[in-house]
Amino acid sequence: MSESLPLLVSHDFMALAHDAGLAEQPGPSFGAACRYQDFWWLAYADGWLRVTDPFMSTELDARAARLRNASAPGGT
Amino acid sequence: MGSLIDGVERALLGVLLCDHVRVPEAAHLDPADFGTAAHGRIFQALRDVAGTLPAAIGINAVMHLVAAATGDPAIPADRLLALALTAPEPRFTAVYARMVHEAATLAALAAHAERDPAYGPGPDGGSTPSDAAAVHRRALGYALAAHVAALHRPPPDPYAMTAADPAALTAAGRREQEILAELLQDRDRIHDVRSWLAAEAFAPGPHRDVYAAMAAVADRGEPVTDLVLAWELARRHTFRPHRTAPAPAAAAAAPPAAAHPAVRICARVEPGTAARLGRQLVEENARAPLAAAVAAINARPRMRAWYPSDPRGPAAKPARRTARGDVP
Repeated sequence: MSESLPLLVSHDFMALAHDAGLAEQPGPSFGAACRYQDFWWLAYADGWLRVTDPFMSTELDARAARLRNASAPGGT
Repeated sequence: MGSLIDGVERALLGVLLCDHVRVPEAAHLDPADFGTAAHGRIFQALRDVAGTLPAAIGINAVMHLVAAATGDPAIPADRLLALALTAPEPRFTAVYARMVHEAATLAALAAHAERDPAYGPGPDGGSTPSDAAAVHRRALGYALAAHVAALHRPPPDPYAMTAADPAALTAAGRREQEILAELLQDRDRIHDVRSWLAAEAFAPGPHRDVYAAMAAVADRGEPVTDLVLAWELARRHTFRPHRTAPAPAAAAAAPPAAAHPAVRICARVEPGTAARLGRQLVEENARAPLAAAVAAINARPRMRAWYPSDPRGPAAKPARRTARGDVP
């Protein structure tokens, strides 16, 4: 699937994906990265760059999980 | 002036020192997440001490206990008290904790990119690489560096951004400025206008940027405090510089902005100004395309009127035949 995904998409594209519920941010005030099509994407001046680095993906997964746990009911 | 991330970390530590029962709201943070080592030590000490303290304890006692727990003579109780005295409202602890978390995430990714030469400018000093993957990695490296750099710059000041001399603005610009003056003075007013006043009603430029940032914060259900607003503005400037039009000539020609923020803060604004002028802004924005549409319709060639009579006159009228077939 990753072969068919572009390495970057526009801000408008990601905004549409977000509105359609296809893209998800790790947290409400965490706007620098989002999850779309099983990849992390990082915002930059002209759009969103797909994170292809396994270390970065793992790091984002772990930190997003920490944020989710903190936001979950009963979590802190 | 300190950096944006320094302000956020100080705000978080300040509210936790003021109200130590809120420390669990930042439990997902690690002391290493703080950009300043001293801030990380204070956070660690707070975590260690907070659970053992009764809810009702004097603030001075908390400062002394936390200062002692840091084990750092460079962090006396007075320094902690200064943090607590300048802290924002404690009820927004979770918001500040999320900001510190985001900054730490970006810093970790940027540090990884810095360590890996594939993300850097390359041995040739920055010529464009030939393959798409290398171009992509370099763009990622630049994007991360830009994010981290934005956090280490002084926070954007919405007052300075909207402080152009009114005399140098157009009528619409002055109206925008009045709207923002009220919204900045009374942050809850954004909820009165947000549902019907779109950011696009403002002309591209600093006014639209500030309003869009306030609206985005309000839409997320977060408080429109100075720090949260500065965070959103910094993020928008980093992400979407191409969407921010260059400052209008009038704003560029304005006197030094330093004198104006105070004017904007102190200027008396009638309650309800944002809603009243916002409606005018929306009406004007709607009027222009409508007027253009009417003008376009009027410019079309008019349809020729249709008359029931035959233009060739009565002679062209076909003769009526009688029942016998002859013409009378």
